[in-house]
Amino acid sequence: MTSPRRRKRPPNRKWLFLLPALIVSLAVVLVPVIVTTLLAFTDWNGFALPKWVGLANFAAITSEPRFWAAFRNNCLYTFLFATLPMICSLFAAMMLMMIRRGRTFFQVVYFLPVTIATVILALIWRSMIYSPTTGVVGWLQQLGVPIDNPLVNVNTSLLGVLFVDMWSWWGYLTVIYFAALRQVDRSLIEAALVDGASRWQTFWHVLRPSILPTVMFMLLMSIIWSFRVFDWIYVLTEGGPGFSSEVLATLAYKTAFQSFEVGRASAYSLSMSLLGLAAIVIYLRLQARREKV
Amino acid sequence: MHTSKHTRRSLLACAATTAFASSIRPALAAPKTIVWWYEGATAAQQAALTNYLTEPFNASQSDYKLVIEWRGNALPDQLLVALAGGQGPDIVLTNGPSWTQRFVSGNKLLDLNPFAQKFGWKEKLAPIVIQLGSYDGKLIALPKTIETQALFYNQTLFKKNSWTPPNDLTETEKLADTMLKAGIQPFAAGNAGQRFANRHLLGICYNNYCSPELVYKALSGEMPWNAPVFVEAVELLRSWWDKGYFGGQKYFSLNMNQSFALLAAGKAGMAMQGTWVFQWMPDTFEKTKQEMGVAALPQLSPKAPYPIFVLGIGADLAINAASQVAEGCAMVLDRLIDYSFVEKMSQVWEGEWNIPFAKPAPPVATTDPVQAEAAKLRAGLSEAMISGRYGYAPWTFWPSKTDDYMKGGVEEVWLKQITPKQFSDKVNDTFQQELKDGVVKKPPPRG
Repeated sequence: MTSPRRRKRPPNRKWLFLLPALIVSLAVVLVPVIVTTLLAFTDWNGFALPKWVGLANFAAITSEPRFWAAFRNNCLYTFLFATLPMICSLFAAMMLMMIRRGRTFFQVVYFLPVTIATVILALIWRSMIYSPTTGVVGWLQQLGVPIDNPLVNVNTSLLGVLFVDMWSWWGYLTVIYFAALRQVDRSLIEAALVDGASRWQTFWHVLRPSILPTVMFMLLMSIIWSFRVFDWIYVLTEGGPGFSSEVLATLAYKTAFQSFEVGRASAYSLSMSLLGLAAIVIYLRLQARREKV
Repeated sequence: MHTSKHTRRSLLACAATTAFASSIRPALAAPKTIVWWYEGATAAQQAALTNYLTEPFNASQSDYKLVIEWRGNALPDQLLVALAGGQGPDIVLTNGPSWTQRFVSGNKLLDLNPFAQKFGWKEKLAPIVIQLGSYDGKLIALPKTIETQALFYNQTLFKKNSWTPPNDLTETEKLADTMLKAGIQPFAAGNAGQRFANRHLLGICYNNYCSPELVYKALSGEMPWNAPVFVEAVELLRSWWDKGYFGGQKYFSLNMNQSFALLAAGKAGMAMQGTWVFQWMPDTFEKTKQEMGVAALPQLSPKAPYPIFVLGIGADLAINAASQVAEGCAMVLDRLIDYSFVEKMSQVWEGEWNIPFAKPAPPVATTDPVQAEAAKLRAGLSEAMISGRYGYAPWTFWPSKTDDYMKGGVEEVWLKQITPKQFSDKVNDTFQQELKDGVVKKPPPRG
């Protein structure tokens, strides 16, 4: 007779269920990360054998004014992208909370840009909105409105791209925030209103704390997505005029595919990833601190 | 009994053999596929290639089947990634010699010398393009087309105002200023989504102001790119920008086709463009019912000869080193290097299939004025190639990193972020580094 203590425990096979996702993740994320990291320390044109150059690529890129200009553009882009759409979308979500009729319609309209490919939207904006010959800008010019295509001016080209990117993004945020606001216990809101709280006080003291995890998460996503912006810039300005709207991703792409310096392009990419990683670490620390409180 | 058993066994064996043979016959007889990744093409252009190349080739033999895949604008990037991974199409279409050189450095392309000998390509093609396609004694690439640049203009507008195409700098600036006063943009131009267009203008200034001889010296490393004469050429281009010859900032908003629309409507007078525009510009003029004219580009300083025909190869054909059907690929290439093929294609797809033959193709009698103008330019370029008096197209002779810098750098000059001297210094630094790295293809000696 076998005592229950001595009975063999069935082997733990739970980890097997993790394998498929783990293998895919390793293949599509970890392997390219390792390869890119290694290539960043080489001189490689994409075809011949890579030559180990140590930190030479990093020394070269950090001494380039073009790198720092692109980095500054990335920072400005990320800051504005992470803040302005959030303010607009929170406001719009609050408005949606107040109305009953047409809510679904507005949500669909707001969400629509996210369902269309970035390249198509960028081309629409370039040729149907911003173009002085075939776009709304041209039509307004004919009416005598003093307006110009923002993409052609070195001072406004980045903002012109950013505006389009924010336009396509803020509606998505609105729908997410609206969904989060709807999860807030209505009795809390009603209690606040009964106690004489203003709308602003209700938002700040009742709604804001309740949706803060969603806001923080979307803030993190906004930072990550905007820091790695490529498609909007490439289609709308290709980084120009001059290098006025160049960002690290377009610089890395051009370095790899037009100048054939894959090693240096990997160094740009790695720098970009490290900066993105810094944003994630900051977010996780803030999250951890919030949970402790 | 024995006989019957034997017969049955024989029958079974026979049936099995027949079944096996019939099962493998299709596999043995099936033609091997030759894959060619092509860039973008209109439906009519795709049909032309199908009618004049794919179908006749596939019908002419049973060993190979040519399949053309239309890859669009992403072709260069796709090729880079595929060839780097030892994959990709059998027939490789690159963006010209400076791109081909990169593939050569990784041994990704096959030596065509054995096929050149078999099919007599070296006798068929102009010696200069054989030189441009050769690397360390190996023939690696054949040109799909050669290009040059010319002055396209709105002939209807010119006739109405009694203007004539300018021959030199004074005439060019006088005419451009007259056009500006009349509210007409002198040169139709634009680079929206096509920033490579910047260096087309830069190349014209280098060749037609400094002279092809000096450009040759700079490309050979015998002269720096920041020598005063090259700085002057960039200054000239900037002064034209400042005067509004290219439409000012509108240049960044328009793409090539939109700029053609201005020219065809008479809102712009001229355009300094490449012969590839024969594919689209005549259609634009057709819509406005105005007449298109073509002339040689003006001489921009006494240092430069007149006329200059810039030699450009925007597309090279090669065979993937990993291809299992190299023989078939060579057969396809041989079909392309054929007078009759070029003649047929030039009637439906003008401006793209100018194969540089050693002996110029027999003149084609045509009543079509556009085809006649195109033929004149082809003849001019052929003569320049033979005599060695051709100019140098940036997209063919400049190494990739220098070429990439020029595209954005010249915009900085126009926008006064840097001076022509600073631009030239940077061009020179980048070029000298590439020269040192051995990635600059030295141009053939001038005749």
